[in-house]
Amino acid sequence: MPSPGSDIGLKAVAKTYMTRSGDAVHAVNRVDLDIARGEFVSLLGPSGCGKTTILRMIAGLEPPTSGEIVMRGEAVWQKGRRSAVATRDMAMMFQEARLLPWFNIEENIALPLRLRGEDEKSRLEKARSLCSTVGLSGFERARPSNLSGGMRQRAALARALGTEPQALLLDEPFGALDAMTRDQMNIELQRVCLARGVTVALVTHSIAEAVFLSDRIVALAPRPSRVVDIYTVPFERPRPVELQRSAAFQQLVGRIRDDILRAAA
Amino acid sequence: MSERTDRLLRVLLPVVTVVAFFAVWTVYVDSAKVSAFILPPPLEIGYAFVRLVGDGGVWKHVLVTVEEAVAGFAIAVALGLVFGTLLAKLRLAEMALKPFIVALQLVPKIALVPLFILWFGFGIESKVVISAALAFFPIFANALIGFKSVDRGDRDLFISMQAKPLATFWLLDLPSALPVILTGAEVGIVLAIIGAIVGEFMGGNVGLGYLAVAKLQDLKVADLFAVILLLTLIGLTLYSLVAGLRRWLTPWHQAVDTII
Repeated sequence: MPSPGSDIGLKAVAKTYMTRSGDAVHAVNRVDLDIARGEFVSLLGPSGCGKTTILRMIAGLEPPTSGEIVMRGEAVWQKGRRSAVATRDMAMMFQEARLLPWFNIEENIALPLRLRGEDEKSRLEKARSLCSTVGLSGFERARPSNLSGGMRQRAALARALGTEPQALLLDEPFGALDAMTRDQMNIELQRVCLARGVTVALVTHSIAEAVFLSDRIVALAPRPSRVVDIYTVPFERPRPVELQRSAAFQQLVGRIRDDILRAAA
Repeated sequence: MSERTDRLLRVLLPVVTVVAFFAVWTVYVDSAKVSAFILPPPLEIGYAFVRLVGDGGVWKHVLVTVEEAVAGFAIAVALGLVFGTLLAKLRLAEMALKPFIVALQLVPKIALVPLFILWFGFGIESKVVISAALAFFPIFANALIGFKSVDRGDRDLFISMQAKPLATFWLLDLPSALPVILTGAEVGIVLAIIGAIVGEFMGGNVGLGYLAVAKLQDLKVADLFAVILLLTLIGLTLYSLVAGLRRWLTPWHQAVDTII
């Protein structure tokens, strides 16, 4: 259960793009959301529903057109610029692992620590210990190109954890992985997040993944982009893989699917 | 074809081509009775080359030409990097300077050689300037393209990691652009050598370009060919060094090797 106190807050957040022909495209329409400390919230919906845009606005990568985003009381966007204070304790994972080919695995994992001015010995020590946390022991010196897709995302997860962030922003990080590897990664993710008490916002288009991982699910529909409903997932965390076969689990997945399909129709 | 014969043929066939080339040359000058003043037979050029290299006097010419080309190349790399970075990072600088630099590139630079000699004299300086002028553009253009085509997603990653601009430059921009920049440098070193030789054609009394002209005036055509052969070997060496540098500095980059 989420501990009290809000970590990430969105108030009437909207994002409008202007196309070349001068039409306004509403990528995100007035989203209100509060994510509690240690809570795992998924932004779920088909492509084009604005879920990635919401995450990028929280991360400070794209400014909202209107509304306010707050991280632990500090506005993420201040006069159109990202606040270094508000985003300091966030870490983001992308759809691709985005490991730099000119660094080996431990150097990649140590990169955010290096950018914070941590000396080489201490940051590489931490990187090695993170390698074992995510099951990459023995691959510290490997080149990213020699790793499988799943192992690369493990390294990306380790890199995100290195600065001990309070919030993890995950943009479909396991979307490109095969189903079996993906299940494995989700178990891993759940374990690491619970152990560290980290707040998570996950963007996904997999309903089962959202139900398996989340405390709450924000279901979105596209064209125009809007929030369909917010669901509270009743199962105790950590959850075993077998939960996915239970009737209650399947029932919730079905209900959310029906709601989204109805809203999108 | 088995892998072994394939590998063998890969080495053997180019040798056969070269041997055939010289064989046809020899037979042609012999049977068509071409004057040795116009086109000497390859064997005679071979002897001339051995004489040239064996005579200690040639090395000062080699040294000067190499010095000019390397100095010109170094200046071109420095200026190409500075302007490439500047124009890639500052939109206003790009708007203001890019059309001008591209227009400058369209000036036939060989035509500027007499001017450079007027300005910088008959010594090594004018040749260095010509070398640098020729080698600058491919390095500058590749640096600009390299810095501008850094992956947007990687940029987002660096923003999300709170990277400072200078750290982003050293850890992301430069390594991302390096393979492209060094490919430009491979073209640049070849042009730098051409610049040095053309400069020596025009004025001065030292360097392999000067030596080539001197051999022509003495009507020693076989010696002229020997100088050309020596220049080719120097070009090959310098090019290989730069290409080797690219492979050494950017081992992660799997590019098809450039063919100049």
